[in-house]
Amino acid sequence: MKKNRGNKVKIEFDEITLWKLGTIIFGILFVLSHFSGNGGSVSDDSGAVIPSAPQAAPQAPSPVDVDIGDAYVKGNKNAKVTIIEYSDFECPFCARFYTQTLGQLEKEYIDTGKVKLAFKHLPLPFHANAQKASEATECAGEIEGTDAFWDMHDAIFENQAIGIAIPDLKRMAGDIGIDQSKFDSCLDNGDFESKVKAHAAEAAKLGASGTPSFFINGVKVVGAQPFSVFKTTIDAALN
Amino acid sequence: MKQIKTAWNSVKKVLSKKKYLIISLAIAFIFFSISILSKNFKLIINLITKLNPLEFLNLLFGLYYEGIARNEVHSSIILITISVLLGITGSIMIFKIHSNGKIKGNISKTGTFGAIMGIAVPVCVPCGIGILSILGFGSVVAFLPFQGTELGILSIILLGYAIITLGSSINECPMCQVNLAKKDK
Repeated sequence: MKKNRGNKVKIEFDEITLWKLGTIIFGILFVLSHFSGNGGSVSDDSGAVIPSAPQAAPQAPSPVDVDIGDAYVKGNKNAKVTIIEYSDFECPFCARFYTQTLGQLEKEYIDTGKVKLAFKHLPLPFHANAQKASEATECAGEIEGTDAFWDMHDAIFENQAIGIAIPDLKRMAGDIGIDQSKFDSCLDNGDFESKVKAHAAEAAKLGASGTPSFFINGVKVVGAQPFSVFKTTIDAALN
Repeated sequence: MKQIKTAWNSVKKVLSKKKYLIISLAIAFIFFSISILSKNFKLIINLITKLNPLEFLNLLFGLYYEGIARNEVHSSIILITISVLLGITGSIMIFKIHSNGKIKGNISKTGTFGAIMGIAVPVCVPCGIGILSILGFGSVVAFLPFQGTELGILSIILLGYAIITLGSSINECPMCQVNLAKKDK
C-alpha cells in the first residue's frame, strides 16, 4: 500500500479496508456516545442554568444533578427520592406511563412519603398540540393552585386519544372548575410559553433522548418502563 | 427468482450448521439488546453493582419488556426483523470468509451499510431507540413522512439484498487470473 516515488510517499487503501475502518470508527463512536458529556446542570439563585464541566470518558456515569426548580411537585417535599419527569402530553408513551404505572407509583411510594414526583415539560416539535397542552397545565396551576395543575395534567392524558387541541383544553379547564376567562386569557396570550420552552431546553442539555424521560435521584430512565423498573431503581436509591 | 432460491438454499445450509446458527442468533441478540437497552445504558451501569443477580435480571427483563411490548407494533416488528437479518448476514459473511477467504467488496459494503442503517435508525423516535435518537437527531428524523420508519424499511431492504447476493455467491471460488502474455523465460 505504500509506494515510494523519489522523496514522496504515497499511501493507498483499498475500498474494503476503508469500509472496515469506517465500521470500526462508527462502532467506537457508538460506544462513546453513551459516555458523551451531557452533564448535569445546576441552577444558581437567579435561575440561570450553569452547565457542568464535560465528563471525562469513558467511566461509570455518575448521577446527574437535576434541579426541581419551578416544577410542580407531588408528594412529600422532604422525600428521600426525587423523580423528575420530562413529558409530552401528546406522546402516547407518556400517556401509557400515566395510565399503567403512575397509579402504582403513587400508592407505594409517593403517598407513603418515600418519593416526590416533579413534572417538567418536554413537548416534542412534531406534536402540534403538545406545547399548548403544557401551557394549559401551567395556567391551571397558576390560577387555582397545585391541585388544579395535577387535575389538568390527569384530564389531558385521559383525553389524549379524544383530542387535546386548544378548544378541548378550554373545555377541560371548565369541567375541572378553573376560572374560564382567566384560563382562556392565559392560554391565548401564551403566558407560560417561555417556561415550557425553558424546561424543554433543560431536558435537551441533560440528554433526555425521548419521552417520557425520568431522573430518579439523578439516574436517567428513558421510556414508559413497567413499574418493576421504577421499583428496582427507587429501592436502590432508598437503600 | 432463481437467485433468491439459490440464496435461500444456501442460507438454510449455512444455518443448519450449529456453529453458524449460534453465531447468527448471537449477532441478532446482541444487536437487539443494544437497540433496546442503549437508551438506559447509564441506568444499567449505575445499578449493576447495587443489585443482586436476581434483581438485576428483573431489571433487564423489565427493560426488554418495555422495549418490545410498550412500543408501537410496527417499530417492534422492524427492530426484530433487522436483528434477525443482521444475524443471518453476519453468519453468512463469516461462513464465506472461513471457506473462501474473502467477500466481494460490494456485498460487504451493502451488508455494512444495512447494519449501520439498522443501528442508527430511530425505530421509535419518542421512545429514544436508535443511535440517532441518543445523539439527539431523533427529532430531525421525526419530520420524515413516517417518522423514521422508512429508514428501518430501507435497512431491511439493504440487508435482504446483502443476504441474497451473499447466499447466491456462496459457492463461488476466488481465482487468480493467469496472464498468459507474460511468461518467465
